[in-house]
Amino acid sequence: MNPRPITIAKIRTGIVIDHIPAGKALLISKVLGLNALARNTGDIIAIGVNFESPSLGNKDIIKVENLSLSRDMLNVVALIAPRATITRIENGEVIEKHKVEVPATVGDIVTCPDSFCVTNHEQVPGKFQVVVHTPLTLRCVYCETEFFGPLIRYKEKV
Amino acid sequence: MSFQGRDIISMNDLTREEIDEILTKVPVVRNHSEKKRLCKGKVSAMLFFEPSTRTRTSFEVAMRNLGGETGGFYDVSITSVTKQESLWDTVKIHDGYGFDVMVIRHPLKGAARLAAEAARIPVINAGDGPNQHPTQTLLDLYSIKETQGDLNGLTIAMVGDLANGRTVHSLTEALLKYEGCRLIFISPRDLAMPRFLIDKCAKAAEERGASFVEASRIEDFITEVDVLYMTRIQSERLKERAAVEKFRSIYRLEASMLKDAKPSMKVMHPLPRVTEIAQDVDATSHAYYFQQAGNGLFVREALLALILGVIE
Repeated sequence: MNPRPITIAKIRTGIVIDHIPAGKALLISKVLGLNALARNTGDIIAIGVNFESPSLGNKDIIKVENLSLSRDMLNVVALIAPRATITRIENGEVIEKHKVEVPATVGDIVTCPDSFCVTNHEQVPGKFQVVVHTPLTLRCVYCETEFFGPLIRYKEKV
Repeated sequence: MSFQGRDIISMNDLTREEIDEILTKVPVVRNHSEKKRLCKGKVSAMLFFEPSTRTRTSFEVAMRNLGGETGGFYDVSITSVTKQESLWDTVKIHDGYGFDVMVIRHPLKGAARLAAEAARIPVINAGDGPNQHPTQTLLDLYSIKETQGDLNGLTIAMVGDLANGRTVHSLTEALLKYEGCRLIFISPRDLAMPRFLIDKCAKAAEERGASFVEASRIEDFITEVDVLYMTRIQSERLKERAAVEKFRSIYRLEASMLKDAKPSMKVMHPLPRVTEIAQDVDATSHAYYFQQAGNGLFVREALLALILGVIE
């Protein structure tokens, strides 16, 4: 088989989010608000979809030419890509590499699926506890509804 | 253990020890020699965004019995909420008026939690839509303990609309905190206990010797139950009128059905009842729903006294 020559160039300074299940990179980008970040800073975001990976078969990868995303912010990636790795690069050197960790609580990145929940009627940012890791199950701090699977709908920032 | 300044939003926030502590204080406050002066100078804000009869009246009388006062609103149509003022702002404004505690009822789930975040004063949830109504659960637990002497090792049957009734959900979760309870869920299949609560029962069965069964006929269990907790079939939740009529005729308790019950067995109901308890049950020694509703007053007195820090 011929090697497929498409790659994403190395970044000199920034963050690499690797080992994302194929097809999930665009969602992660929207949940993290990378589009807005790029617009505000002029930094380049590279999103690779369906790359070959020895461990995952196929994977997505995101490279962000910016170091401002904190470890806590990046841990929400674990909700969508539990095996993702984060690499921080500064001046071409890897300064930190770690796996994402599922956080105990998440903020306003998900919509409560209960239409009678106060968060769907008042201007109040959502807050959720992670009650089960697999399958990922969240509990709304306000209405106490527990939900999982397709009921977890992420707020996509454009 | 101090409850002074504490919010009471959900039964899930209370440990078994805290529940026991509140229940222990009910007769203390009820029979307190200085009761009329306990809350002198204290004022409770009543924010009722939704109609209520028993909860509202009993909170008002409870505060008056303790020497305190109440203010606020019971009819949202005469407030700025009609000018689209947010819940957050409405709570903030009342918080600034010098009240000592806030009692809130709202049709949306989670509204009381949001109010507690907005307010500096303690907030008591008097019902947030179909979610929580902790003072109802506390009065249910108090009534069960009062009549059975203990909350451990009881056999409790819940009957009726178990899918939509918040009182039975909350009561189930509270009883699972105790040892060795046996829960019998009697409902039409369409109105069965939600799956997540059945899962919690299964977990408690492993951890604390609880057991549970889902069934469809009251008569099959009448001899073994300590408490028969009846609920209303909520006609507003069922699409077909015919279904409501059918369920109501099946899940109806009559005095003749109680002849083999234990002498100590009590029938409870969060009220209002419609047709699920025949009036001839009222005259039996098993009927306890009116005393139960009366206990709502004493439980709310105790909660107010604890939260306002006027008793230890």
